[in-house]
Amino acid sequence: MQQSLMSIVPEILLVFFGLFLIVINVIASEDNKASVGYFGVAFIVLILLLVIPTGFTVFGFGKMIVWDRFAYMFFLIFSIAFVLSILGSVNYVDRNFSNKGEYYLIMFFSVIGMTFMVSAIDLSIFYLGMETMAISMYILSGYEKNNVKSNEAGIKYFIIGAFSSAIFLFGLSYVFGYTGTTKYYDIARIIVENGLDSFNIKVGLILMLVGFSFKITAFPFHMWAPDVYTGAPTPVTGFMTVAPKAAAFGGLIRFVWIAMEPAQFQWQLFFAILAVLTMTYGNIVALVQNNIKRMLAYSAISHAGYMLIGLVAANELGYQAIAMYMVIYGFMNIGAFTILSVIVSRGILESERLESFSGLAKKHPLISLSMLIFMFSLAGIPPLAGFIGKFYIFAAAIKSGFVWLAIIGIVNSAVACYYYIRIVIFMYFKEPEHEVEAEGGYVPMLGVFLSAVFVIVIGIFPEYLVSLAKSIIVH
Amino acid sequence: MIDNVLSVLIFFPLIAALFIFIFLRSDKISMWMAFFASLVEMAIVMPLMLNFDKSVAGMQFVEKYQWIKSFGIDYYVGVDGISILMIFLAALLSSISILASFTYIKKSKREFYLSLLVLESAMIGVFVSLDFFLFYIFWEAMLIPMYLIIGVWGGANRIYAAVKFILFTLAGSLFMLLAILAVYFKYGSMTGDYTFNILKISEMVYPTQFQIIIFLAFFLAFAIKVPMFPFHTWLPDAHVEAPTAGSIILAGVLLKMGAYGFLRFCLTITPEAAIKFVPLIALLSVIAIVYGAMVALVQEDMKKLVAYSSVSHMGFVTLGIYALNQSGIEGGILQMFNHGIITGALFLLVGIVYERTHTRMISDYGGIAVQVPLYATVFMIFTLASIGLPTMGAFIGEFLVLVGSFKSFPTYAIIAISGIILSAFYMLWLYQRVFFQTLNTKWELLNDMSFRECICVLPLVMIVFWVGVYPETFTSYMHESVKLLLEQIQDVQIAMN
Repeated sequence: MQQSLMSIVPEILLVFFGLFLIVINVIASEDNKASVGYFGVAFIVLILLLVIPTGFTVFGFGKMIVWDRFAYMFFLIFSIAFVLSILGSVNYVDRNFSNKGEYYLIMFFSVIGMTFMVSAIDLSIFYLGMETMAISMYILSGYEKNNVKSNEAGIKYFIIGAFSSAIFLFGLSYVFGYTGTTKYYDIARIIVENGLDSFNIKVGLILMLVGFSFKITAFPFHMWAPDVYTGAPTPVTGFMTVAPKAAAFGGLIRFVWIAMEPAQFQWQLFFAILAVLTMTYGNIVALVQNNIKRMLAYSAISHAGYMLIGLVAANELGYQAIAMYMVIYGFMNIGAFTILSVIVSRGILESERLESFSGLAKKHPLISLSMLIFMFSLAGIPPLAGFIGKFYIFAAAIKSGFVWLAIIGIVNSAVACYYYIRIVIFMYFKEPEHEVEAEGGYVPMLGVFLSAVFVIVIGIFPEYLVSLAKSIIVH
Repeated sequence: MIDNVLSVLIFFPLIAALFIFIFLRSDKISMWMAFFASLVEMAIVMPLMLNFDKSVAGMQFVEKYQWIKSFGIDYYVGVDGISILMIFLAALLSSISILASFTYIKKSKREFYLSLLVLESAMIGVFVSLDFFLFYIFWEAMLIPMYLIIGVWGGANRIYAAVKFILFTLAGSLFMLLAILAVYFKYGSMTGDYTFNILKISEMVYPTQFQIIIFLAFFLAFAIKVPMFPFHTWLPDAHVEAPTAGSIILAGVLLKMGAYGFLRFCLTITPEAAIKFVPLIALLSVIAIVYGAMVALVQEDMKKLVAYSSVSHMGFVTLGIYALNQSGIEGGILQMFNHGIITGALFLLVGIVYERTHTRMISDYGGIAVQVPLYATVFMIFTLASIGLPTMGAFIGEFLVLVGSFKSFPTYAIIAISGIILSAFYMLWLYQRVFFQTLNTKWELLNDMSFRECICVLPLVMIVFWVGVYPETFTSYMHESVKLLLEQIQDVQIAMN
């Protein structure tokens, strides 16, 4: 029993501090709701430190849940995404939202769901975590009450999310019916004993993988993503492109590595096809976007494709590469979205149009320089962190002999450079056309600064992050 | 100090750039500061050149620190006879291009000099890296400042040129990345030692089939950079649009990296494949020589003419390298050096007159020799140097290349000679149309070269004659390293037969 409790210490701490945060929200005055966010940041950092002494690889509740370095690494990713998003959104929240304090609370609680997703080794626990995360995300994406697009995003995400959950559950019921268990290790054992020939298990596993594919925005299950990412409030989009996706990837890695280990060849093929389609589709559509937010939404889809390459590689390097990629992607993508959320166009033009970035370098040299760093990093140009991430992903693919997949990935990266660099062209090479202000104050700039520093530091000294990633093993 | 000279060389310009970025606000002070930093960099190159032991074939001034342990990546730098001249070239041309931009660059001056300093760091890094990962990082890091230099400070069509430049080079270098990873895993699985150490990887003998794939990936990256014949289309655009300093660096140093890559990687890691592909590459080189010269002949724009002449001259470099004998390779390297000096000087000279007249069209000029005698003299020197007149640098380089290639493929060598004849044709014709004939009345008030411009050109004139009269000063650096390289290749050649 004690061991079981130890295995969910992080979640217990999260719930405890989450409830505490509700109290803080009640106490905080209406003009000072940002303090709720700051407390949230402090709590997350505190929990990150507190859970280290609980030790690693603790199985709990009869192997339904495990707290190991893998879960900790993903918890770290969620924390980074959370901290950067909160820093980036304090001013945005004050400007645009009517229920300010609850925004931070919901984002905090979504982290609990995500943590369950990556530490679950049982389908029912995983599903509960996923729903906790998803419902928070539905609310957040529709949080800008007076904005039609945000409402649309919330509803759309909710309907398609529910739809994908249903597909996932449908598949789960087949798997449960066939194996009689929801625990990953038992599923694997029974598949080994009875083989994969049965129609029921095939349908079950395929439907479950489809359910996962919705969450990681893999083509052709991505169709909700562009609209939701574009419609949701910008800081929320930054968070959504990183944390829930990382959680889904974490859960997926555990599921395919443990439960579907006997069917490795089949799921490798499945995800290899999805990876190619996802990368190519995301990049090609991003090429023609004139709205930066929408462009970054498609770029987020293509990055999911790159990460799928790591999954297909099906070696330890592969999932370590995904975890690393997620950390790096968190810094660069949330950094870019934070910049997007502080840039406000004064004219008739939407702030997110590419044109509103023209000549930005003259007026806001530091913001432009940070954006340049994020864009070149997303494009994967060394010595920035994005290159390290891609490097490991492709290394994993080549190590497993998937050279063709690495080639497709590399061609895609080259194509992607065009649209990332287009933003730089507008910022640096064009003359200012519109009245554009940076409204954010110091806190979002701190977030941007932190992200930019990490993107450079990880790019030049990746050793620490690499050794951290190397220590994780999927249990 | 002398032990860490290479690290100092790599990071000094970067630190200078950071210093300017953080502490200096004035354009004028930043400009002088950048020039001063590049002079200091030159001053650091000198002890490197003087203390270099010419009798040693291997790497010198080696520094090695562990960097990313878990992947076998080191910070590993060193210099040998092949790379030392390139370092000298990079440092020299950086100083000159900074000095040459003092009046040419009108907007965002401070940022321009920052880009040049960052570029200098990356260029030197490329030539001294002995670790594949480090090499690739410098190789790619070079793109960002160069892209900005073309895109921000370039001519009218600059955005198109900048994007074309970056997409071409990126496409090539991503294939190089694949090749690097493949070699890394191959070496690791063969020896159990996963490392990016270029020297270790080069010593290994790989299966032929594997070599061919790796060779083709490397070839694509380097052929785009050189650029060799079918991959050259980005070059004229980039050159024409780039500001003078950008053109000097591009022609002088960046193009050399392709040829350097052929020498350093293709010949050592994949010697068997390289030998197999010699006929194809020799053919492409000869096509580049003749085709580049013929296209240069019909250009209306002076800068475009020089750009196409670059394609032609770089053809000599690749022809010499793939002759795979001592005089061919040495001629190739010397020709790399010469081309850097001469073409750099020509771009500089075109830039000097463009700054006054704002046109590069040959037909807009005529008879200006009367107005600007000094300029006309210097231009004549480099015209003749470019043609390959004896006592000037290019003659020695081309002569060695032709001697070398005549041994390996006589027919190609004979065709290549026609490239020299054509070069006399287009360069002298250019000179005639610009400087002689009747004076175009528009230019009656044209000023001759200023003191600053003379200072820019002077070291280049000196070096051109130095190489032409006493090439041993420069070739003596490379003898031993080239010998070592050839011994490795000859072993493979014998084994293949």
